[in-house]
Amino acid sequence: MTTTCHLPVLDMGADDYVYEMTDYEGARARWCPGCGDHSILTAVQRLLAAEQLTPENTVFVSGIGCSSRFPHYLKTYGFHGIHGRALPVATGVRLNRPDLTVFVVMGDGDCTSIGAGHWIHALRYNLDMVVMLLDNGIYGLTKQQTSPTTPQGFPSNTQPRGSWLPALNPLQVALGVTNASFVAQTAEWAPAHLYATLRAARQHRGLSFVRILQRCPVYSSALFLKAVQNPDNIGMLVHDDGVVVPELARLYANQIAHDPHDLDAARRMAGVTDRLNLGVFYRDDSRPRYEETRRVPPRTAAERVALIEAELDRYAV
Amino acid sequence: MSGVNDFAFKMATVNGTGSASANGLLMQAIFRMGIPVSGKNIFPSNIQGLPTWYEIRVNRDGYMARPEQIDLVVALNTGTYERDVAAVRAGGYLVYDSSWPLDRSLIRDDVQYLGVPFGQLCVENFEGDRPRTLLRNIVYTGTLAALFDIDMDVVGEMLREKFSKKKALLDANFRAIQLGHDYAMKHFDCPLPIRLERMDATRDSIVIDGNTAAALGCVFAGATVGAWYPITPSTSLMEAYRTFGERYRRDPDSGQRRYAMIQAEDELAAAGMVIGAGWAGARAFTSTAGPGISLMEEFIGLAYYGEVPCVFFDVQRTGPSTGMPTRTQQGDLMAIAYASHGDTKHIALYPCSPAECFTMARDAFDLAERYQTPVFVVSDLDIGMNDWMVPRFSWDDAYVPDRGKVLSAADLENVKKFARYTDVDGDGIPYRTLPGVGPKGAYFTRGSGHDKNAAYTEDSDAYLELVDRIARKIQGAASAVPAPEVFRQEGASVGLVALGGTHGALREALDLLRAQGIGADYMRIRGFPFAAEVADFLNEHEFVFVVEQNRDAQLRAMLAIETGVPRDHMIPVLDYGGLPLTAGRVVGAVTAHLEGAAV
Repeated sequence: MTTTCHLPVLDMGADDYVYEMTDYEGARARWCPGCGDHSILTAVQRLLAAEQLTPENTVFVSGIGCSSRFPHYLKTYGFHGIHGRALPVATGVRLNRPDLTVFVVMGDGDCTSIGAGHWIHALRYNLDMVVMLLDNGIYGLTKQQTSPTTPQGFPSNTQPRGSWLPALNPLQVALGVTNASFVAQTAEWAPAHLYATLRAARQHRGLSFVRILQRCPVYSSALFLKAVQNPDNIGMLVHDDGVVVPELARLYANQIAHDPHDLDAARRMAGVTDRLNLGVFYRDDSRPRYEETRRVPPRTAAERVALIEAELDRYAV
Repeated sequence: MSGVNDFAFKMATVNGTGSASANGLLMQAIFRMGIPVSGKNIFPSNIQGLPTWYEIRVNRDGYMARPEQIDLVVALNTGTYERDVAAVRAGGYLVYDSSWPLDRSLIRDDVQYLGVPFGQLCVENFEGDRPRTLLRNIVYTGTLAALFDIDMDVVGEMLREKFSKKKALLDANFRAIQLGHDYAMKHFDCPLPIRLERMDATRDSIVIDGNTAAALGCVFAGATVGAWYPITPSTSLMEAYRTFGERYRRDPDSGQRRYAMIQAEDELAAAGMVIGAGWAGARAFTSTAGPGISLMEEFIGLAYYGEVPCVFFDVQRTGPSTGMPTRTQQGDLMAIAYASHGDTKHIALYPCSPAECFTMARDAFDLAERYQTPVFVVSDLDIGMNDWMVPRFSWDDAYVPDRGKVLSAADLENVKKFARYTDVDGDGIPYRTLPGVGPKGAYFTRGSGHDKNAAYTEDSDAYLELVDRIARKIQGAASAVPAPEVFRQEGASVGLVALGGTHGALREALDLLRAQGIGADYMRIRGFPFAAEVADFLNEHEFVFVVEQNRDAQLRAMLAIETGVPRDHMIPVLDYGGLPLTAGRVVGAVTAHLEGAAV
C-alpha cells in the first residue's frame, strides 16, 4: 500500500504577514479518529496564531511514535528524527540559532523510556523551548506495549495480565531535576486549559516541560476515565503566575490555589494519587539557560584570520 | 647505526609523578637545537601509579616513526625494571637510580649501567615528598643533558620561560638540573657516543599534537558549534577548541561567546546536537573515539539519509569494546565507512599527521556542506595525542568556506516551488534552505522514507529515486576528497598501500628496502570514497602490500569492495598491538613475503 502525503510549501505574499490558524496547517493529520493528538495539534495551531510566530522561524522537532508525526501537520520547519532523540537535535538547533522558536514533541515511550537520559539533561540545560510530552501511557505505533507511564495493572501485549510495575510519574521526575524551570500538566480533553497552559509555556523563558494527558482511542481509551467522566476528580491548580481559565471554574470545582514558585508544594501536588492535578506546578524564570553562553554576530573572516594568525607562532617552540 | 643525532631513548616512570613535563622539556630542548625529534607517550588508562614510558627519537634525517631499537633507557620504575632492562639494545645504556642496589638478575653483560642516586640527591637537596618526586624528573633531565650534550643554555632558557612567574620553582628546577648534570659529568665519560650536535633542520617546523591542530583547523574553518562527550583519546581536541574559542571567539566588548561548546550527556546526544546545529546552518562538529562512534551510529544514518552536514572526528583507539583506551589502532576504518544500518557510505578523510589534522578539518567542513552529509576525520591516538614535528602551518587568507547549495532569500524568490530533495543539477546534490530565510523555503526533514518533496512515502519508486541519488552524490565525492599521495621509484617491483599515521614508518621503510635492493612504490590513501587513482595504483602492480593497524585487514577489505581488485592481489601487513608502527615491521613483512615468493 502506498501512503504519500504532500507537504505544501508556504506561499504567502511578502506583505501579508498576519497569520491565521490555517496558515500553520500542513499535511492532513493522519492519526486515528478520536486520537487526542488532534486536539493538541489544534491547540498548538491556535497558539502559533495567537503568538503570530513566523512559520519559517518556527521549528518543531520530534522523535518516533504516533505523536512524533506532529511536525508533518504543521507548515513550519520540521525535523522528524530518531526514536528518543528529539531533544539533542533541538538542543543543537537552539545552540546555533537562538533566534528560532523551538518546540519539541515526544510521546511517553520517546521521552520517558528510550530518551530518558536526554530528558533529564535537557531539563537541566534549560534551553528556551517548549517541550511537550504527549502521554497516553502506551506504545501505540508498535501496537500496545507497556510504556513507563502505563498504570499498574493496565493490560498490554507486554504484560497481558496487567503492568507489573507502578507507573513512572513524569512530573515527579521533572521536578526532581535540578534547574528544571517550568513543569506543567494539562489534558487533551480540556482544550481551553490545554491552550492556556501551552501559552504560559511559550511565554516562559527557559525549557517549559508540559505533560499532556492523552488517550489512545485504540489501546488506552479507558485511561483517565475517572477524571474524564467526573471533573471532581480533577484538581485545577490556579495562580496568577500559573494558569487561570475562568470559564472552566464552574466545571472544575476543585480550584486549588498553588504558588508555582514553591518547589516543595509543587512536588506534593505532583505526588497526589486520589485526583489528577492540572496546571503549572512549578516555574522559576531566574534559572540559568544554557544558550546564554553565547552569542553575538560573528566577526568578519579577515578579522578572524588576523586575530588568529598569532596562534601558530605559539607552537614554534 | 646509532650515533650523533641518530638515536632513541626512553624514560620508564610511574604515571602521576610529573615526568611528562620533564620529557616534554627534553624533546623541546632537542628541537630548539635544530635537530629533528619525535616523542611518543605510552601511558596507562589511569590517573596515578601505573607504568608509563616516553620514547624520544632523535634523527638527523628526519625519520619520525617509532624507533626500532632503544639505545638508552632511564629506568625509574622498579615495577618494570625487568622489561626496561630487556628493552635496551645490545651495547646500549641503562640509567637507573643507584640510591638502592640493583638486583643481580637485572645485570646484562652487553649493557652499560649508569647509576645516579636520584632519590638520594632529591632527599638531600629538597624538602617535602611531592617536590622531591617531581624534581627527580628534572634531575634525570640534567643527567641526560650531560650524557647527550644538550645545550644547557637552551634548557635554562626554557625553564625561565616556564617558571618566569614562580621564582621559588625556578630556583629549585635550576638546582635539580644542575645536580643531575654535575653528577653525570663527574662520574661518567660525557658525552656518550650517542649525542647531539646543533643542526639547523627545525627552523620551518613546529611541534604540535594532532588534536590541538584539528581544533585549530576547526576554528580557522569557521566552526561555531562543538558538542561532545569526554572520551580518551579525543578529549583534548574539544578542550583545545574551547581554549581557542575563549581566546578568539569572544566579543571583546560584551565578553559574549561567538561559539558554543557543549558537553552532552552522552555521545548519542552529542551527535544529535551536531546534527541539529548543522541543519540550522552551523559548521558543527563532535570529537570522539570508537565507542562513541558505535553509540552515534543511528544518528549518523539520520544525517546521511536526511542529508544534514556535520563533521565527526574519530581519534581511534584500540578496540573492540572499551579495549585499550590509551593505545593506538586503525580499527574503525570499516565501522566509519559504512556506519549505521541500511545502505550507507560516508566521506572519510585520513590525516597522516597533525599538519593534515589542521588542513583536513577545513576540508571536512567544506565537504560536509557541499555534499550535505556527515564527514569523518579519522585520526588516531598516536597522531592526536603525541607531539609531532611538522612543517609550520600556513593558511590561505583567500579561503572562502564552501557552504554548498543553500538557497538565499533572493534565490527563493525566483524558485517557483522549493523541493528539498530534487536533483536539480544532475550531481545528486539537492538544494537546502536554512530556517528563517523565507516563507517559501520551509521544509521537513525526516529519517523516515521520503520523496523528493520531503513528503513521507512508502512508495518503492520514490524511495529508490532518493537512495540512488544519495549513492551517486557520495560517489561523486571520490574526486573531491584529498587525492592519494603516490611515491614512485624507478624500477619498483612492488607497491605498498597505507593510510593515516603510519606514513612516517612507510617512508622510512621505503628507504630501508631500497638499501636492500628492493624498489617499492607507495600510495598513501587520504580519502574515502576512493579516488580513481587508488584502483589504478592497485592494478598497476603485480601485487601490493596493504599496511594497516588492525587485525582484520579492514582497508584491504574496503579496497576489495570498492575497486573490485581481488583480495589475493593485496598482501596484508598488519600491526595492531596498540603501539605506533615501526619501519622495521614493514620491512620485515615485505622481505619475508618476497623471500617466500622467491622460494
